Amino acid sequence: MKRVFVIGVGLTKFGKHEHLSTRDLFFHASKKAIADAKIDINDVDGIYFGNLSSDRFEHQAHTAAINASNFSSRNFPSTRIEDACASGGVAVAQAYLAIKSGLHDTILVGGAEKMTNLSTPEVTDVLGTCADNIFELPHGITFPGLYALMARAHMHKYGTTKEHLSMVAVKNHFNALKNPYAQFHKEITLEKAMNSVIVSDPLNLYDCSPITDGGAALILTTEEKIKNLDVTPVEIVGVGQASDSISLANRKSLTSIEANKIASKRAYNMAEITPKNIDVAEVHDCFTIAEIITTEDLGFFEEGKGGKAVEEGITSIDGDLPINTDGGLKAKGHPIGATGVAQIIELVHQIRGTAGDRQLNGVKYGLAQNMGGSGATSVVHILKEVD
Amino acid sequence: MDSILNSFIDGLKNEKILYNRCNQCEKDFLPPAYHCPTCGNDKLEIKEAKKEGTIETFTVVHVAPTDFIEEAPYIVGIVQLNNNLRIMARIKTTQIENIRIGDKVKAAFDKNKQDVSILFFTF
Repeated sequence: MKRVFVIGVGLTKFGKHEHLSTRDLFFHASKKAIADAKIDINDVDGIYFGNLSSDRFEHQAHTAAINASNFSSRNFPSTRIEDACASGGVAVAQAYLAIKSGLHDTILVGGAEKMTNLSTPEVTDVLGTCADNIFELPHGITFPGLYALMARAHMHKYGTTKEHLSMVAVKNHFNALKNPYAQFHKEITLEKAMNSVIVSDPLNLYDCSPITDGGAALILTTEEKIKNLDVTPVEIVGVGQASDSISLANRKSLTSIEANKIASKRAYNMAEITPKNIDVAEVHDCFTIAEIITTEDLGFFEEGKGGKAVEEGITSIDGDLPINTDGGLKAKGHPIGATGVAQIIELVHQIRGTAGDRQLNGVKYGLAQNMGGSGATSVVHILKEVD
Repeated sequence: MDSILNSFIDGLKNEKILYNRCNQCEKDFLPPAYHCPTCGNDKLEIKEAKKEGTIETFTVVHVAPTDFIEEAPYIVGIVQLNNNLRIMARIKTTQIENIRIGDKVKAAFDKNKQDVSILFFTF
């Protein structure tokens, strides 16, 4: 089996791009990734593309073929992946498999989402398609609502507080100040986070990731190919994915996400490491409670201690285990299909030493966890510095 | 061929909460499935749940999807019925501020705008 390396990364600014569509966002991110890898588009064998719903957002499906034809007439195999908010991460996992198996040498993989052209209730409707349309949606539940249900259960069982939730938002907004690609460059106080308008009690506006346009792309290739390239490769050493019931009520637990536990265990086993080896992590903080629960699921903290870890500064950029150094979904933004790919880009920057003002020291291993729905899909990648 | 969901949906029309019980491991579960999510067995029984349960968690939805904007704010909860069988539904009360995890609630049934039978819970 082949070893798989990231050799190029590209990101658009996250935020509102009034005059750009999904195809533009992916093209611009891809072009940057190709330039960063110092290759030519003709060196690419195929494209994997993560996207939730260009169908509903822009009335445009079949976007994978559009992405291929944007480059040249090379007739690439081009495949779109839809796994709710994990679409980007799963696209990377599929690209990894294509190279690992020996089928392809070099793959362009990324994701994009164009969301800001719809109103908030309309976006809520589109995202709602990721929940169960018989057992959840008829009751008027939303994604903030689903995570609010988990938040209240976690607070009740473990004593996690509203302050703990807001501290995640404060931390991630602080980290985004140093990320030029982030949607928000606005430091917030705990008081401001605590007192923002209620979305779905106990979650308020600052507990929720925003509506975002953006694209992200990577170039993956083999050990043989990197020998002739003047780049700093980062190896993907662990990949794990798992699914569960999409209906929250019917999972084993309301205070932890089983798919996260299984996906991360698979990734740790493949990488032959434990959670203690991880130097930096990108976790799917679509809502502040998701970061708290996920850091427990990934084995960083005991169940129920995720809130305390934020309070103690362990997950701050100067803490023992920095989480979401790029601002996370909360402050960097959450253009659905791009999210899982952008997480991996941050790890690549931290490992190769190109993270600018938010650069950490001595990062050897980074972990990215990308999640779909209320946790029915989880995909985990572990990246490692090349010795 | 039949849909595994039809018995559940028909149950709601007749004001019943129907669920699956696995003949092999005896676990109860929802949503209905073709195989038991615990042991994988496909010999499943359809059972009727008691029309009462306990609130396991809840949220007050303020920002609602387009179809529900006029109804907000409203409460959505997850209620434990029996043997770890849980279900999501609205919790209707005039005293939103008094609702607590662990409260006992009773099942009731209503029709939505599309004339589909909907389960909810009340005190």
